[in-house]
Amino acid sequence: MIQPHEIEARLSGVWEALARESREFRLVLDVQPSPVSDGERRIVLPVGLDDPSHRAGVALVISHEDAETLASVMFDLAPAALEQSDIDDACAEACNVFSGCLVEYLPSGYLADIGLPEAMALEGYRKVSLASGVKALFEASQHDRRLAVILFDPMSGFRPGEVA
Amino acid sequence: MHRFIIVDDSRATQSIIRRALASAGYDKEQVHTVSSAVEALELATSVRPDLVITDWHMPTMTGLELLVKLRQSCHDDVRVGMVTTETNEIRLAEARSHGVSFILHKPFRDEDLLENVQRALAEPRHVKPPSGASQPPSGEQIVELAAGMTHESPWQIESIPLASFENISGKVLLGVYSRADDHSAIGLGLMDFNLITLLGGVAAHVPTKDILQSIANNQAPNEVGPHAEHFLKLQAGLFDPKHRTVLSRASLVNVKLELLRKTLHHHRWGVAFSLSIPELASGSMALIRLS
Repeated sequence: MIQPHEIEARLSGVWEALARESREFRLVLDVQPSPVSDGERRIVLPVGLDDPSHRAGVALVISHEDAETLASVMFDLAPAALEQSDIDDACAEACNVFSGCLVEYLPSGYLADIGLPEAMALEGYRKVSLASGVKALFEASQHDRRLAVILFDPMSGFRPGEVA
Repeated sequence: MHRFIIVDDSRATQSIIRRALASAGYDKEQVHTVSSAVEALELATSVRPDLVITDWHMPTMTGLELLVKLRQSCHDDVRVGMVTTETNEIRLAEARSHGVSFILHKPFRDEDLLENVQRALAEPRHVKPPSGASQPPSGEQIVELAAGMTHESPWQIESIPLASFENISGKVLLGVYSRADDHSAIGLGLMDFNLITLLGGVAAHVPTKDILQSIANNQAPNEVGPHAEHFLKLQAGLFDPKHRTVLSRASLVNVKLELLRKTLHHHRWGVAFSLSIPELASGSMALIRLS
């Protein structure tokens, strides 16, 4: 199975490629239920595995400031010129790309069925995070800007279409 | 002047690809962007693109389905490149079997995208391989290979429906076969746990009682793996006698074949066999030639 330090390097590389900013993702060993706040965006992507009753998931939790930076670079637009839909789009795509780095962390992950990312409202995400198992959490937060990629396995409580 | 269609449900990625193409001097007016594979199919008729660059994971229709639809349409010669987060080996193999010009994993560097685009455009348009270029192997050919590596054991073989392989669960040895010259994936090989243990065990001189116990306990001795993989390697020559084929990857996976059934809608041929050594044990295998 792929090692955590390889995942850390991949996630850091993804952020640098998408946001043109150096941030080092680190595996968080002592995962505590962390508060979710309205100052963040939460995107969740379901991952199908060999057993249809077994679903994993990848979540991106990103501060509004980082989300804006990301969208600004991806669309090559000044922050003031961005619309909310641009920021949503960039975050969803970033979650999609991060998921490609993480699925190999799952058993038979290279045969995983990657789904489509969905933005989640605060309450919906809270339900998912409480009902799911956290297999790994990688974080590259800076100051009070949270940037975290979470691998849920199994993921429960996720209902496609419960968009923020 | 080259014409492009970019297909991605992310406008951000559309924007990144469009900028990369513009930076290399491609005419912006000839770079069309759409958010779905359905729109791409419609647009292909009027635009007649030289290259379609598509995402994989999109709502309604995936990039792989788009590729297959294009190959079945009057635009069957269009070059298609994929930019994706897809890691599923079976699906990637299927895309290659449909003549995808390149598969680039996200995130990509502009230089890498442009290198792939330029190489794709320098190649002739996709030529569909003639149908019926290869025939499925017979049971006798399989037995000959099995006997050759198991000290001429008295193998018996019986053809079984490929569909029966879909219900197998547990550990399966999955092999991906590619053409030696252009590395395009052309087939898959599968061995169930019993056959891995039986064939690998006999080839490795594992005592009969240990083979039977391993099968009963669903736990194979370490030495059987390389022999089972070698059996998959030997089968590479059965796919296409006109092109040298190699086993490019083999992995023991714990996968329900439901996933394979969903993936392999378009195989050219598929065969499955039950192989047994009388009064010892039996196991199953399948070979699937991708279209």
